[in-house]
Formats: sequence, structure tokens, C-alpha cells
Amino acid sequence: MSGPTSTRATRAIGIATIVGLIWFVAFGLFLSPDDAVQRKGVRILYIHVPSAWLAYLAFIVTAVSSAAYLWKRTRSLTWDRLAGASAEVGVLFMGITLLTGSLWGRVSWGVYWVWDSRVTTTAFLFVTYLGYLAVRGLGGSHEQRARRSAVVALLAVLEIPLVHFSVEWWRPLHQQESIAKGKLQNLMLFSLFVGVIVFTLLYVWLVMHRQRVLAMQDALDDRGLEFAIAERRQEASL
Amino acid sequence: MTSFAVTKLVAAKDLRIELRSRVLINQVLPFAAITMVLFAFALDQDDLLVRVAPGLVWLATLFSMLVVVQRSFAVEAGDGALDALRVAGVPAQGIYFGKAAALAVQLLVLETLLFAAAFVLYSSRFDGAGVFLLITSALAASCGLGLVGTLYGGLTTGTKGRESLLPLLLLPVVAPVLIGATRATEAALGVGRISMQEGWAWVALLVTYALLFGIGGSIGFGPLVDDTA
Amino acid sequence: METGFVILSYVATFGGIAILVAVMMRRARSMSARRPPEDQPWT
Repeated sequence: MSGPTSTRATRAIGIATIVGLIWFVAFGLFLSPDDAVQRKGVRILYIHVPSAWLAYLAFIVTAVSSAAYLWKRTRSLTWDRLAGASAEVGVLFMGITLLTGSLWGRVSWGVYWVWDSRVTTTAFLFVTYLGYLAVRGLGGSHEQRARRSAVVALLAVLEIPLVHFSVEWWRPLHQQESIAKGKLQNLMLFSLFVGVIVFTLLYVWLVMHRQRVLAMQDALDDRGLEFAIAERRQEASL
Repeated sequence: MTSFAVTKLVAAKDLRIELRSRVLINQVLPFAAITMVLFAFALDQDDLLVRVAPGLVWLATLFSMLVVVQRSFAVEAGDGALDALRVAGVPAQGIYFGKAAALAVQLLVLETLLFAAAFVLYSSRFDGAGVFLLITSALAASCGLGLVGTLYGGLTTGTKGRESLLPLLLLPVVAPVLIGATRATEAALGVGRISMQEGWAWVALLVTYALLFGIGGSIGFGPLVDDTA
Repeated sequence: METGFVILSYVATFGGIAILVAVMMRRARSMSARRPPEDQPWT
């Protein structure tokens, strides 16, 4: 599985991820017990909870990288590409969170969706991410893209708490839901823990590769521009 | 020229353009009115309408706002007016607050007419005590919408394919305003099980929203509209 | 019955990730064929 964006670091992390993945599936699907109340449904949480955490982490990384880009002293397109890569992986994990959450809801409560504050805010975050990625695709120079999307990312940091509060007031989290996800014992907790480790490794691996792909893309664009300019000059001199 | 003077000038200019071209009156208001009618077709239950009227009014406002925001920046795009202002060194903050103020005023006009339509079409009733809450919440909401609309409108204005991004960016951001304004309006109109006290709490949220985006927008507007690297 | 949903979650999650990784790798390969090594400071 090595390619042009691989290095020793990514190979090491990749191997660790695959090993972790095997452990995770072993514990998640087989070695951990069924829950007393939820029975097999709790196994979905081993994916759902870690991917939610990583999605939020990815968002934080995007926000911090955006700020780093905007601050003159640390301005570098690497921060911009990191922000973009992290956002893409974040969208992936957010999608997984919503999907597994929906399936868990179907298993536990019989419904695929509830309009409570946590679910709604998560869906909202997902849509906001998509908007951020759309802004990245608006075109223009690399610096324009970087500055524009950095501002949008920071505005999102501003708006998320506002949305969270208004949705929380609108539909407060019910007591029953916190109980449903309440006590997990021993092996179940361990499975969750393995899940967090695996997803974190996965996140790092994906972001490293994706960030390098974006760097290659930018470099290609730059070369393309130089090439086109050179061509024009040739034409002019004929 | 101070930022405040610029704000007044830009706001006055935008409103004067609207008065002369009457785009809001001729195009947006009919669109909003039709939306209100379509809601009635979709919902199909008369007693339900009066209950959901607040939400429908604010939904119609938000959808119409997309058109008004795009219009607000279309008038700048014509002769590259916005770029000319920036190149001439006019402070971005002044332009931002000026356009936001004009947008808020237009939205208030829109909302007034939509509430009138709700009075007629949905049988909404406005009683004395609630009217004060209604007006305050509409003011707070319109300020927030004006600020946010100008911010994201500035981002999505210009070249090919950008305008279609406005709904995707703007509608999620204004969700708190939709929630807050609808709840406050429900309290003001006495529909739903929400007290006036709660309604005022929602107004506090709307004011906070406007303040936060006022600050955030005044910082972010400049970088967003300046297309230089 | 819940087993079905559990399996679906795991398959969709890791299958989806695997597909995206494959797509990403293929794009990286096709791009790197088109440019010189000094554009890859990480190697």
C-alpha cells in the first residue's frame, strides 16, 4: 500500500492502524460481551463514539491551522493544506458518526433520527464542514483560497457555539438518553478505548497522506501556470 | 473619513438604490407572499397554520433574504464598485456596517409585510403586550441577519459559480436566528406553550448573535472581499 | 435482528474508508507521475 505520498512515518502508522483494526474488530464484534440492556446494539457505539470524537478533533485542527495561516508570523500554505485535509477527514468521520448513530438509534429506540440537541448540532456541524469544503473549491490563487477558507473556518468556530446553545434551549437533552449510553463495564470500555486509538491512528494517517496530495496538487497547478506562461512567451516571439 | 461616516454613506446609498430600482418591492415581496401561499397549500390544515405562522414568516424571510443579499452585492459588481472603494482606501468596516444596516432595514420592511400577510392568510392575532416583544425580536433578528448576510454575501459575490454557494453557507449560519426569532414570535403571538419570559430570553440570544457576528464580521469582511493575495 | 445493523455499521464504516483510501492513493499515483521529485519534500 505504499505510494508517492508514503514515508517511513506513514508506513509505520499504517501498520499500527491495521494491527489496531484487527484488535478492534476482534473485541468490538466478538470478545466483548453484549450489553444488559442494549444487547448487540452497543457494539455500534464502539465505532460511533470514537468517530464523533475524531470528527470534533479534526474540526479543532482545521480551526487552529486556519488561525496559524492568518497570523502573519506563521503564514504558510502548509497550514492551509493541513486545514483542508483535516476538514475532509473530519467530514468522513462526521458522516460515519451520523450513519452509525442513526443505526444505533434504530436498534435502541426504533427510530433513525431524533431532534435532540446533540444529534442536531452534529448534523449541523456536518453541513458547515461541507460549506467550508465548498469554499475551498472556489478557485483563485492558493493564497486567496487559503485566506478565504481560513476566515470561513474561524467564523464557523464562532457560529457553532451559537447553534449549540440555541438548539440546546430548543430541545434539551433528555435524561433517558444519557442513561442509555451510561455504564459500560470492563471489556466494553476496553473496546471503546481500542476504537479511540484506532480511529486516531486512522485520522493521522489519512491527514498526512491527504495533506501531501494537496501539496502535490498545488505544485502541479504552479507548474501548469509556469508552463502556460512559457508557452505564451514562445508564441509571442514567433 | 471615519468608519462611521462611511457606514452612513454606504447605507444611504444602498437604500437609495433600492428606492429607485424597487427590486425589493417589485420582486422580493411578491416572492415572499407567494411562499406564504405555498405554505398553506403544503400544510393543508387551517388550524395548524395559525400555530406555525411564526415559523413560516421567518422561513419566508430567510428564503427571501437570499435574493436580497445577492441583490445587495450585485449593485456593487456592476462597475467593480466594491473593489474601487477598497482600492481607494475606504475602511472595510464602514462598508460592512453600512451594507449590513441597509440590508437590515430592507429585511424589516419585508418582515412587516409578512406579518401582515400572516394576519390575513393565517389568522394570526397580535395582542397589546406581545407587540412590544414582536417588534424587539424582529429588530434584533434583522440586525443579526443583516450582519451575517452581508458577510457571506461578500464572500460569494463575483465570478462564476460563487452565488450558488450562498444558500449552503448562509442558511446553516442563520439557524439560531430562525430558532430564536420563531420562539420569540410564538411567545409574542401567544401560540404554542411558550411564555413571554422565555420569549425575552430568546431575544437575548438574538442580541448576542448580532453582537458576536458584528465583531466577527467587521474583522472578517475585509479579508473576504479583498481578492488580492 | 440487531446483528444485521451491527454488521452494516462495521461494513459501511470500514468499507467506506477503504474505498476512499483507494481513491486517494490512485489520485496520488497519477499526479506524481506528472511531476519531478523536488516537489515532494517529504521523501
